[in-house]
Amino acid sequence: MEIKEEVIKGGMEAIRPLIEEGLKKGRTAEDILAEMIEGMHEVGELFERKEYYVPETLLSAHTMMLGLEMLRPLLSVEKAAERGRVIVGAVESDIHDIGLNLVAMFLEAAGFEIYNLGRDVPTKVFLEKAEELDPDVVGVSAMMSTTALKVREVIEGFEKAGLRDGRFFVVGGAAFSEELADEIGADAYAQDAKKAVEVFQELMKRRK
Amino acid sequence: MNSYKRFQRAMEGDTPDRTPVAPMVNVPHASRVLGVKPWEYVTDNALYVKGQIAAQRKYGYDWIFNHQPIQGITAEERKAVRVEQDFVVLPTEMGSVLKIPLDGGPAVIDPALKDYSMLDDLEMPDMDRPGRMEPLEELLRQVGDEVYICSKVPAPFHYAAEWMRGLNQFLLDMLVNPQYVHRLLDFMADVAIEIGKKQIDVGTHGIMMEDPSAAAQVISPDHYREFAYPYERKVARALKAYGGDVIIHICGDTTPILPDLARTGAKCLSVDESVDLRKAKETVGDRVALFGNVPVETIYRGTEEEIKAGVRKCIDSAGGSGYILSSSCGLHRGTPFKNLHTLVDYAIKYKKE
Repeated sequence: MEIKEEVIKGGMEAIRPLIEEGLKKGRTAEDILAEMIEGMHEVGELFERKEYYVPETLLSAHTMMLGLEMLRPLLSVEKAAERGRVIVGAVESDIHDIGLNLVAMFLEAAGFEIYNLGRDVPTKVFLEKAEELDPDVVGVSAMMSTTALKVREVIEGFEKAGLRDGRFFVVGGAAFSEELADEIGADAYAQDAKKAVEVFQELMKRRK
Repeated sequence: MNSYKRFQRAMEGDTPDRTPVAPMVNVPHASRVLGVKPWEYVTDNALYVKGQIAAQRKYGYDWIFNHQPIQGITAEERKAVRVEQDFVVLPTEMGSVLKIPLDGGPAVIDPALKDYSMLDDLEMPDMDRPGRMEPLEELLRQVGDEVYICSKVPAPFHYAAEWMRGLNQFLLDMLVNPQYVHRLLDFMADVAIEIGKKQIDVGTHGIMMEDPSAAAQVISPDHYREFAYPYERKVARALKAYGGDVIIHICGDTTPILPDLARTGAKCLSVDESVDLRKAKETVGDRVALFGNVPVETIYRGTEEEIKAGVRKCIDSAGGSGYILSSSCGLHRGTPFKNLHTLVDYAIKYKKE
C-alpha cells in the first residue's frame, strides 16, 4: 500500500522507484494502477472533507500522473475506451485550468479515455476534436462570471453542426450552479473533480 | 451628503444618510455601457475614464472602481498592442503577456517567471512612468469631489500566481518550494506598496486589494495564514501608515479567516455570498467596515423581486454603520442593464427596519 500512500501524500520523488520495484517483483500495471486509483479516491474524500485544498490535491494528482506515465505503455487501450471517451476543455478566454486539469486527471485515474484540450479553447476546436474523436462525453469548464455564457455557445455550436445527439455535456467550474447548467442546456453539472468522476460514470451507465 | 462623503463615512465605521452602493462594475460591463470593445477600453486611458464615469452616471452608484492593476497604459504600450483574429495581445511591464478577448476581460496567458533563478533579476516597475496615473488623475479631476474613487493595487498572492507563475504552478510551488514563494511574495508586496503610495500621492480616496487566488475554496486557512495573510498585512499596514484606506476582497467562505483579515490593517473587508454578513458583522464588525454581497448570479438572472430581496437581506444583516452594499464579485458578462438599475435604485431607497 506504499504506492497508495505516496499518491495521497503527493510523493512525486518516491512514486517512480516504487512502481519500478513493483513491476520488477511481477505486479501487473493494472494492479498498480488500481492502487493509485484507490489513493486518488481517498484524496477526493480528503478534498470533500476540506482536509485537502487545491494545492494538496494538485500535488497528489501530479504524483499519480507521473506513475501513470510509466504504466501507460503497459496498459491496454481498449479498456479505457470501454469505460468512455471524453474530451474536456475550458471555454475560450477562460485561462483557469486547475480545476479542469484535476478533473482530467481524476477521470484518467478512473479509467476513462481522456483528451484534455486545455484552457482557452474556441468553440471550433471543440467541434473539430469531437468530429475526430467522437467522444461520449464533452466536459466544458468556465471559472469566471464573464465566461460562463460561452459554454452555451459551445453547446449551440454542437447542435448546429449536428454533433449534439448521442453525446452528453457536463459543465463545471466556479461560474456554474446546477440551475445555470440546466439553463444553458447541459446534461449534468459537476462541482469538483471527485463529483465529476461520479457524474461521468453515471452518464456512461445511461449510455448502455 | 454626496457619494464621496457617504462612502467615506461608512469606511470609517460611521452611519451615513443611507447605505452606500458600490457594485463591482468590471471591464466587460463598463465597456458595454460605453458601447466599445473591452480591449479598446482597457488599452485607452481616455476611453477607460469615460466608461467608468459613464457607468457611474448611468446607474448613480456611489463609487468608481479604478480597477486596472497596473493602472494607466503608456503610449508605447498602446502601440505594442497586437490585434489577433479574435483577441488582443498586450505585453506588460512585469514581463507577463495579457490576452484580451474582443468581448471579455483580460487574462494572463504567459506568466513572467519561468523559474525561480529569475527572482533576483525582477525589477520594480517605474512608478513615475508617463501614463500610469493618468486614469486616476482624470477620474479625480472630473468627479473626485462627489464620487468615491477606489483604486486597485495588485494583491501579492493573487498576482504572484496570475502574473508571475501561473496559478497551477504557483500552488505546487507553495508545497515544494515554499522559500522561493515567500521571496516572490515579498517582492510582489513591495510592488503593491509602491503602486498604492503613488495612488495616495495622486489623491485616491480608497484602495482595493482583491486576492481571489487566495480564495477559501482554493487554499486552506493554514496556507492562507502562511502565504497570503502576511503579505496582505504588509501591504495594508504600509499603506495605512501612508494615509491610505484599504479594502480587501477575497472570494469564497472566508468566515474562518475573517479575524485574520481584520488584523491586516484594512479598513474594510469585502466578502462574497458564501459569507453570512450578519455573522461577519458580529465577529469583526467592531474593527472593520463590511462590503458586499448580493450574489452576482441573482443580479445576472434574478427577477426584480429576487434582486430586491437580495438587497434587503444584505442591508438588514449589516446595514447601518460601517457597511457598503455591493455585488458579491465582478458582474457577470451580459448582466442586463435593467437588473443593475433595479439593484442600485432599490438599495438607495431601502431603509433597514
